[in-house]
Amino acid sequence: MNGESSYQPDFIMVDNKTEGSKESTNNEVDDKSSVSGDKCVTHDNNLSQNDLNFLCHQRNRFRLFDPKGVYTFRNVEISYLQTFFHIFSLLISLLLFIGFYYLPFIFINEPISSLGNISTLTVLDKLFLAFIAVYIIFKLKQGLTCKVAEFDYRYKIALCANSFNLTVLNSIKLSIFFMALDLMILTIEPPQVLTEVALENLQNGVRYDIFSAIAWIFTVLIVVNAFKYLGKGAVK
Amino acid sequence: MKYIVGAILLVLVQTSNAKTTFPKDCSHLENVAKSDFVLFSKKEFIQLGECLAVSLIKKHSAVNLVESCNEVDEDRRNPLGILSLSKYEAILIGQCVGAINYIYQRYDNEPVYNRPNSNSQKVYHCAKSKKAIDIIRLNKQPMLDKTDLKKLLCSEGY
Repeated sequence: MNGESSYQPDFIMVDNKTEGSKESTNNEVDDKSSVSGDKCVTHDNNLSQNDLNFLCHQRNRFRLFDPKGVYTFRNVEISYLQTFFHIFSLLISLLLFIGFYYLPFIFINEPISSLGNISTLTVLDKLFLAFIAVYIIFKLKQGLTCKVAEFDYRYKIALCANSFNLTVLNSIKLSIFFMALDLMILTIEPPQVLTEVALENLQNGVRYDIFSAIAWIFTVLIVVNAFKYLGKGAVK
Repeated sequence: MKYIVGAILLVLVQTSNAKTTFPKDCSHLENVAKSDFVLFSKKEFIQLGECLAVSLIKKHSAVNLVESCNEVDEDRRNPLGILSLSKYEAILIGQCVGAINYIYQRYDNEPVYNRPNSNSQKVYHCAKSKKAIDIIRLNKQPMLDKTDLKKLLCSEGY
């Protein structure tokens, strides 16, 4: 009963098309299996019912954190309801993204007497922030100017939304990981160290600088991984 | 309406700014204070810090030297070097170095005037560089002014 039936039904006739139009559906489905509505058409006889259900489900799935999936099924029409949620989530994650990465430029300051507020951003911070900005702008330009799929605007909105959402999600996971690491370090401090001193040392010191560099490397990997599907699969 | 504008002006006037007056002695470094990238101007930032610390010490006001000298030590031990240096940290490093050098130049080998007693010709011997940094870092009181520094770093001897 679990998809192991020996009877292999012929799925070419699923949507009640006649033999004459079987040829055209076969050609259409050759490489880009375009779909309209809920009907999944395929010419492959080796797929069991389970596989087909899985494929149908994956095609029409609502993707929020999955740019790879959006790219894979780029020829599937995305419904307008899904596009509404994509735009909504894109706005939220753009806000969070700018808050994570670019507001520090304005707000990370410490006062020095007779000089005013001086920024405490290190060289590494500025270099990586600049690289992330340039990379994202380059990828967005590349992704938004090439035609990839039939339902182009909805695909591009979906891909941008998924990329930004994935970046934000993975950044949150990275922050939680480093918070856990800090907590582990706090527990192995010797007992005569005061709590305030231990917390100070988490924010300032050689160990903090090394963790910060490692976190930046992971952040760049997150951003590159999330945005690499923009601009891929261009159709002339 | 004019009351609202007046109230807003009253609030805006009260915002304080840590930048009081830029010391006149350091006016040659004023444009350095505006630049932002440590990679190209680390030396200038350190000079700015030295100048600021010296002018503050001369005025007998207190400088937070424990934090500054911790930064010097951190910079020395850091494998990343200049990559993890910020403008704020560079200026702090300059403050620590400048304060120690000033105390050394001002008091080292200077005779001690206890009482008008011609027999005792004690002089001050002041620590400098690494030893002085370690002495300051171990101090409990973070804000140090000229007399505190002299007491910490300089000992009387022959």
